[in-house]
Amino acid sequence: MKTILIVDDQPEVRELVSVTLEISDYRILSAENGDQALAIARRELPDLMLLDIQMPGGSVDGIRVCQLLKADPRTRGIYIIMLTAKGQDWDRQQGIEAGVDEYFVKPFSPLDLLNKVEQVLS
Amino acid sequence: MLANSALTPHTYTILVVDDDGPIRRLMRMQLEREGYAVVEALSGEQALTEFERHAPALVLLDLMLGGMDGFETCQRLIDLPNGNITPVVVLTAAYDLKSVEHAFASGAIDFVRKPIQWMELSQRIKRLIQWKCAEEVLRDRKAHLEGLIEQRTAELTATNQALQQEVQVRRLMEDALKERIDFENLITMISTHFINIHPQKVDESINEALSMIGLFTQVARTSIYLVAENRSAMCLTYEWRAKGSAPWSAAQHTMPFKAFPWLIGKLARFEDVIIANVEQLSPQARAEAAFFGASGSQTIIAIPLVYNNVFSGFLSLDSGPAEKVWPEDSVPLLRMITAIFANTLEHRRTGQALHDREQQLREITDAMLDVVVKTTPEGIIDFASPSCWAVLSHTPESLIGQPFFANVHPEDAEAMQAHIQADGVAEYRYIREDGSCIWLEALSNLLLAEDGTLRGMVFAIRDITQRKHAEHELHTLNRLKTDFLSTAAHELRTPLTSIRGFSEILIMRELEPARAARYLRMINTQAEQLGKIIDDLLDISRLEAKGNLTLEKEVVELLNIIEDAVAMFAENAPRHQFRVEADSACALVSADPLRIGQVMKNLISNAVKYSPQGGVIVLALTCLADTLQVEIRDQGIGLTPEQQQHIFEKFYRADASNIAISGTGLGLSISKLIVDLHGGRMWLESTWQAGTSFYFTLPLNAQATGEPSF
Repeated sequence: MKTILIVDDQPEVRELVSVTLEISDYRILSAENGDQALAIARRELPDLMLLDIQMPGGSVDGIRVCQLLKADPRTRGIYIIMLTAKGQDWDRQQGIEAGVDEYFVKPFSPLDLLNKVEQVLS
Repeated sequence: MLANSALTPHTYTILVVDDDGPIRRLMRMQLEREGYAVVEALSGEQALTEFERHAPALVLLDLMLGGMDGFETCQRLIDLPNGNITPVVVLTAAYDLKSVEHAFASGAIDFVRKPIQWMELSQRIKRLIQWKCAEEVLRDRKAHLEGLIEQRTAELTATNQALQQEVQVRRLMEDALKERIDFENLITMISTHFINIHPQKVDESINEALSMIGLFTQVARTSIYLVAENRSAMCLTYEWRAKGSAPWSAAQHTMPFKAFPWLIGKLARFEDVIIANVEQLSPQARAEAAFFGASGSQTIIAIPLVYNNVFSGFLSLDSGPAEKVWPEDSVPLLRMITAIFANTLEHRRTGQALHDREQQLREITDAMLDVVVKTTPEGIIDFASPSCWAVLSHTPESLIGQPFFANVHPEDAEAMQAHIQADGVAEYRYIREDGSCIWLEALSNLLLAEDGTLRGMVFAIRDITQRKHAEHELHTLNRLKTDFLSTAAHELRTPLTSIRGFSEILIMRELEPARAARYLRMINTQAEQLGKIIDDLLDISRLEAKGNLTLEKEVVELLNIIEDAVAMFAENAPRHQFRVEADSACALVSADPLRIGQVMKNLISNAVKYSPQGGVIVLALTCLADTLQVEIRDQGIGLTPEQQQHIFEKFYRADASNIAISGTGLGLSISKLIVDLHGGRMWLESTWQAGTSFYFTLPLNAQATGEPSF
């Protein structure tokens, strides 16, 4: 069973993603800030992460989390999908530079997200 | 010989005057025998008559006459024409010496005593007639001579007169020649004076020349009329007049072209106009006759001023009431001096025009806010306009001799030179004399000589510091706006994510009713949030455009508003404690309760957001002299001095990039604008990591304080 880590400060979004993915058979983990995300990712080594960028209550944002994970050979293989409200070209560029694998802008279509996740994990 | 010739052809007449008939007859007989003709007279009176009638050669007069006596008769005979050369011989009866003396005194020339000795008488008569003839001849000769003398004298007189006339003519010619030479000398002298004349001396010198010419030619007036700038009239510009001559009247100071077609037509064709007598001018010149006649002028010479084939005025010499005959050769001389006047005036005009242009340019560069700098081809400043003092704080003198690039900010020097060379324009920083730094824009232009070589460069330099500041501000503003848009977009996307996501799931999947209802509520909540954000955005845009927002003021008790706001938050912020501290009496203000409520909610929301770990939030209401002060104090993360400085700026969010606290960044801006609109003030005090206090005041409404008013 594949493991997916959902990282978002807003419980509504975490719930939305969980509900979206629940019809497939994944193990779902979640974190509400960057620090938690790093800790869980390193411990659990999920197959895929859905990562928000702007998250209050932690010392690192999503971009930094991505950079750190991609810089670490142990965690480099985690497929990271950015799921963020920062939809401008400049934001995307930042994500790509940080090494994200896919960039989804909020608001998103749950069906699209599900298709993407299934495609990545199959 | 004389006697013979005189006697022979003539029969001499002798008048015998005697009242004694026999003696008369005897004498006639005797005298006729000797060949004389005899005329007799009985009395003195008859003797006078006969004498006149016969012009006798000799008179024999008896002294003893009745009536007029012999002496008187003698005397009267002598007095008759020819009487003095006609011998009168008196006959006296006795040897009466006394009578003889008397007779001689009366003019008798001889006497014969009675009884007459005929031989003696005959001889005496012959001799006396000879004498008379001689006397007559003499008299004729004398008359002839006198005639001759008279004739010669007349001839001499005539010759003399002719000579005198000739002398006069010669003298006149000499005078004329001398006058001409003098006039020539005068003109030469004046001409010499006008060579290289200083422009400022032109008027003076022309006046002087007019006076010299006037005095020399003895006219009443010498004047120069110049063509007015609009070329429609002549204006009296220079004038000299002899002592006692009337000046031109005011009406004569201007001669419109149209009014004097005859004179000005001729002058404009470069013809000299010589009016010998104003009264004899042709009818075509009626206006001119009236014009000159008005000042009592008789003879006028007008010579056109011509320069480069352009008619520019005329010189006039005007005789005044006396007619003047001009020597023929004075006109060419006058023409010469007129040419000199025309030349001089034209040179001064062009010189003046040049001078004016230069003056104008100087005034422009002097008055310009821009600095004009000229350099040599090597870039050394050789001119700087006075404005360089105001702009660069360098005097022109201190700049001259310096390289143009001398005071350019070292960081900009290279780029500036490159831009000047490539584009002719550059913006750069400049170090002023006082060390301060300003932004300049320089436009350059090459000065080329006729052969194309570089003569130097001209720079127009402008202080663009303000523009740069404005540009910077605009840039900042633009950045803030972009930031705002991306923040706003982010803030809008967040609730939209839930709305779109859950709605799609509700559409795509069949969920049990309880779950479906829960997701619908979440959609509803997020839609509400979305609405709030949109309200905020509209608020700020309305507050920005001042005046578009009208406050609906009423007398309100501020404490109520505070308590309502606190009540709203207390539910949703379980980690925070709220404490309201209020001064009792003076809680009434005139305010828009909704807007002030909005301010309170914003401030409390901030206090909650920025004290994530919880803590006490104090709301203190204090009554000051004329204001009511509200303080919202938290125990949160506080603000750095840098953040405090910008906290009220629109779109500013304390460390938006890292400390991921969501919000539109408009809450405080909106709050401050609302307080400002109420006439109050908003500020903050904060200690980093220890907490923040926001304050605002509202003016106390005297009538709303609840105090009694009389």
